[in-house]
Amino acid sequence: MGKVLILLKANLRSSYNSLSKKASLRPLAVAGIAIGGGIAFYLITKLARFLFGPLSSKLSVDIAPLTLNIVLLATFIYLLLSSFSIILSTLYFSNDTTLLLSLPIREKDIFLSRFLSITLEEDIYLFFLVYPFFVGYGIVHSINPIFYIETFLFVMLFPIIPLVIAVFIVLPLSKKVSPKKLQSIITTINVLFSVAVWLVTQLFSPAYNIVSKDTLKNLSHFLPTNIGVLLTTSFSNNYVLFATSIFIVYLAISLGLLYLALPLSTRTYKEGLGAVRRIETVKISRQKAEKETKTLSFLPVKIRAIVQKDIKMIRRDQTLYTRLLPSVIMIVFFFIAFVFGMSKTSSKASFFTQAFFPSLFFILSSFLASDLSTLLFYREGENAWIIFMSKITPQEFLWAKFFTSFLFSELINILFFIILIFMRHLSLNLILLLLSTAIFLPFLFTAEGVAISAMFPVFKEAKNPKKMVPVKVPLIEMVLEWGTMGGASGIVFLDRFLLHLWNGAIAGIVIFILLGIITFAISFPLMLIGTKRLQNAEFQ
Amino acid sequence: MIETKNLTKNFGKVLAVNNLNIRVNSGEIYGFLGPNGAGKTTTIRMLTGLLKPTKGTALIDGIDILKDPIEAKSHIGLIPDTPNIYKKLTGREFLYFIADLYDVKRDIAKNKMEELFEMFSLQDKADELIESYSHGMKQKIVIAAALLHNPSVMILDEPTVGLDPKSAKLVKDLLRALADRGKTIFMSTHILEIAERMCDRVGIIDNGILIAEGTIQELREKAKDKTANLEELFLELTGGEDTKDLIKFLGD
Repeated sequence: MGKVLILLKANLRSSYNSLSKKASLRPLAVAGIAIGGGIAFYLITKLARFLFGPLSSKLSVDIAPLTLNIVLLATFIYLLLSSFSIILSTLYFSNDTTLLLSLPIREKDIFLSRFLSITLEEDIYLFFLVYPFFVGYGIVHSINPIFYIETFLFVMLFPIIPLVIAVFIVLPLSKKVSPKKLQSIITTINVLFSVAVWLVTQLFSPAYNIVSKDTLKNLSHFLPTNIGVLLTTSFSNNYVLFATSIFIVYLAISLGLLYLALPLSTRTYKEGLGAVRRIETVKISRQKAEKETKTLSFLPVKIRAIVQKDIKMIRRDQTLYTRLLPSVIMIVFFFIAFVFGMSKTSSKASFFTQAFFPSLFFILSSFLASDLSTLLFYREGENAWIIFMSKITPQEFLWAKFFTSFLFSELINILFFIILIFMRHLSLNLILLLLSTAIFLPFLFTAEGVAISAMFPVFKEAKNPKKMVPVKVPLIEMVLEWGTMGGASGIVFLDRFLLHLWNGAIAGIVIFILLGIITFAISFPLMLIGTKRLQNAEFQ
Repeated sequence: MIETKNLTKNFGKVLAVNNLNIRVNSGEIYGFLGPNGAGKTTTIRMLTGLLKPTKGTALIDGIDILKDPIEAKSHIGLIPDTPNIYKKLTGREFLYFIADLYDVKRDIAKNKMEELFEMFSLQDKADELIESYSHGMKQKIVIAAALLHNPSVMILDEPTVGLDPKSAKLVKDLLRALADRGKTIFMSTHILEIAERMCDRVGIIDNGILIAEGTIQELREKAKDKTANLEELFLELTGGEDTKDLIKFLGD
């Protein structure tokens, strides 16, 4: 256990150090996380107190069991889905694995230290986002203080079961399947599982009336996460001993599963690592390589070179495509579900179903474009010296990054737009409105993504592309993009107003021009600032 | 031609390079030597525009790297110390990419690429993803990429690290041939034997300061030791106490 603790301490120290390059800023970063987490904790506790107190009284139903069950189930599903890639990347793709395996440390200890490290990292989120529901419940029902300790431990142990499930699947598979295939399998499982979850929720949707409320309530008792509900309600009924017994059973199951995973790690870890590290020789025929260099010939040569390279990266780099693919599949899946759902309710078609929701899909694909542009920018990583040594200007480089992501999102939007035109009899006003959101929003979002990235040009190498992006970048992008989304929604509503003044076509054209002007007025100055920042960047 | 004028770089309070003034003429191979952390890589990064000097500037073929970086960079071929390149491209795709970035015409690039693949014995690997290349192969493809646009100035940071003896010999011969054709070669190396045999002049940097410069003969004269080899001169100039400490440590 001593070695496990040494490794765990090193992992935690490394996570702490990665908060900031400057040692003096790290305590501040921790304080920032604590303050942000504290605010979330307070707000969620307040929400829980409202749900379990005044709202339950008003409805004359105790909604706490169902709410807790839903919260725990959603958390469990999220943890399970993320566990596959976390286990794969942490156990197999960490840079220090080869060094550790050469040291006199058992595979079991390396595995356990990494497992505990992941659990602790997940615990930080669970403490701030899930534990407050229990605290809120405890306050409303004025429960025994032991409740807070046991539910705290319950929440802290919560990541173990989904992580162990992922271990039982990933470790044996890693022995037999190449990393590329394994990553693809995990992505496919995640997407299929998400779709299945969505389909199951549709079964319970009141709109379809397939499963009754009572059945839903009865079914919730059989969910594995109901153990948390049972623990909570037992305390509120003052069955402290019974509640503690439940907790001990839960503790035994979690630790028992982890214990079972240990011999598996000894048997498969090193062997699997060999298979994961094995690089397959992939050949691209000379003809194909030369043909591909001739595509997108309308672009300036240097911009085209970067775009062609980035498209190849998206296709060949599993860390990139496994990050994008699920989002694309989900957006397309929900769009198709929406279009078919909409055709069912055509008689009730409203402004929301005709304009607002389709615009929402365009916004989602624009978010994707922004995410992609940021990833492609930082994915240059340690190869960025090639770009900064070449004849390409920072401006050309940024527009190249812009073009790839914009093209990607625009292809999705145009596909959606065509489907909408064929599936619905849209007015000219709506066509123009949707066309303007389909074209301009990806432009704006992509420009925001590229420009913000260029303002913080730090290029480093990491197996997980998310870790290549400075923490502040997605935060700033999120604020900007939510602002943009608010503005875009305002414009959609402005269209409603303009329809009272002019006919649909004129209102649509005005909106198209207005959105175009806003897009360019924001995008170009942002790109200019990004270019200036990049010109002054240093490659260390 | 490379010329630096009071080239200085600070990283916070650390003075990495201090008032560096060197001149490397066309047709010359200049060896840039120094212990670890002396400021060699920082100097190379400033010469190539990857780092901005705190003070001073560098001229590449008379073009100021700060004032006209794109034009200056088009004259440079850089071979960095670690061959970080796009692993998901094939060797051929990578060289086409580089050719486009440097505005090399497609037919010229195509012909030159074949010559380079043949010269570095990479023909069989040209259409495989770079991720399957060994370190030496990656180093070779980086060298090929640096030569593709026919630069007049070659800047190399430890060029022979990771190369097998045959390839290392090839690189050494290549650099000599390039210098004979009037190219400027600026090379940092730890391998003093290479510097001694290949370089027309050497500069020794320690703690960011150029402490000695000249031909090997000139350095010997300065050190008043006509038989000393470069290793002895280097250790004398940069302090050889470490070796004594090492012997003492092993003895203990």
